Amino acid sequence: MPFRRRMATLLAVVGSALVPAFTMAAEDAAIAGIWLPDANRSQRFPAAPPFTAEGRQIVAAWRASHDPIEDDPGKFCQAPGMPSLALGGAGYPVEIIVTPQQVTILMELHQQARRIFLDPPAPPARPFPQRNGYSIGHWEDATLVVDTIAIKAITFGTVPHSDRVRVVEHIRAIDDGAALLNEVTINDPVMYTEPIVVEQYYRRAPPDTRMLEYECTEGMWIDHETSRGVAADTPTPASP
Amino acid sequence: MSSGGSHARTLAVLLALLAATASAHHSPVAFDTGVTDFTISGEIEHVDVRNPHSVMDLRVTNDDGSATVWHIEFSSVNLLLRRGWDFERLKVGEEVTCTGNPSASGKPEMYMWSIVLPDGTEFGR
Repeated sequence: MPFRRRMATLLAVVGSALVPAFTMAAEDAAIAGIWLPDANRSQRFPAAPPFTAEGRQIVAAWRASHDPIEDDPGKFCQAPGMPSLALGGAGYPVEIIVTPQQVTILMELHQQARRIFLDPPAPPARPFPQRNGYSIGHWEDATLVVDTIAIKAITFGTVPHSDRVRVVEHIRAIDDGAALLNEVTINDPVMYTEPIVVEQYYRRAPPDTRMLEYECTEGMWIDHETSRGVAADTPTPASP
Repeated sequence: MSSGGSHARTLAVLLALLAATASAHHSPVAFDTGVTDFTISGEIEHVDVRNPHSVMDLRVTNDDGSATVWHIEFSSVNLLLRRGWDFERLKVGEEVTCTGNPSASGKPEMYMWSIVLPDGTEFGR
C-alpha cells in the first residue's frame, strides 16, 4: 500500500475512534458545572430505615456512648464520607468536572473531593478503604452511573453504614439543564434489610457562583493558640 | 498574692478557656428550633466568623442591672458570605440585637439567624 494511502487509512481509523469520543464528552458535559442542593425537592434518608438487628445494635451502641451535644463529630470537623456526602448538603455548592478519564465532584462542605474513574472496567481487587470509597463510573447515554465500594464504616452522619456498604448512583441533568438528579441506591447488608433509594436534586447555581474553600479546623487552631496566650494569625475575613 | 489566690486565678482562667473551646460548635439538638423569634440585645464582646459555625459573645444587661455574657452561635463563614453578611461591620463594643433559637437547656446560649446593627442594618438568612 502506498505511503499516502496508508496514512489516509490510518487517519480515517484514528478519526473514527476520536469523533464518537468527543461527541460523547460533549453530551456528558450536561452534568458539568456548579450545582446547589435543592432541599425542597430532594428526598431524605428515612428517619426510621429498615435496620437489621445488627444495624440497630450498632446505632444504639453509638448513641449510648456519645452525648449528642458534647460528642458531636461536626464539632471536630468530621466529614461523614459516602454515602452521606451524596445526600443533603445544606446550602453548599457542588462542582462537577468531566474529563474523558474521570469525573471529579468537588463539594464545598467539608472541602470534599470525589474521584470517579471512568477507564477501569472494575475496581482493584483490594481497594484501600477510604471515607469516600473507591468509585468507578460509566456513561449510559447522558447518565453517569457510579459504583462505589471500599467505604470505611462510620456510624455518624446521615447514613450509618458498615464497610460492606455499596452505593450506586445515577446522575443526570434534567429540566433542560436547569437541575440535576442523583438517584442514590444504598446497599448495606450489615445495616439494612433492603436497598434504600434516595433522590437527591440540585439546581444549577447562578453563573457568577464561585466555589469557596472550607477551612474547618482553623477554629481549633485559634482556640489552641488562645489557650497558650498567643494571638492566632488568622484575622476575621473581610467581606467582598 | 498568696499561692492560693494565684491557683484560684489560674483555675478560673482555665475554666473560662475550656468553656470557650467547648462551645465552638453545637449540634442542632442544643437549641430549641421550634422557637425562631427568640431575641436578645447587648454589646459584642467577641466575634469569630468561622467554619463549621461562627461564634459571638454578647454582654446582656439583665433587668436587675447585672450582666450576663451570652454565647451565640451562628452559621458558617461560607454560607454567611453568600447571604451578604459584611463581617467588618460586626464590631466588638457595638450594641446589636440578635434573633434565633434559644438554648434547649436554658443556658445563656442561642443560635442566631439574624442580627440588627446600631444603624438598623440587618443581616439574615
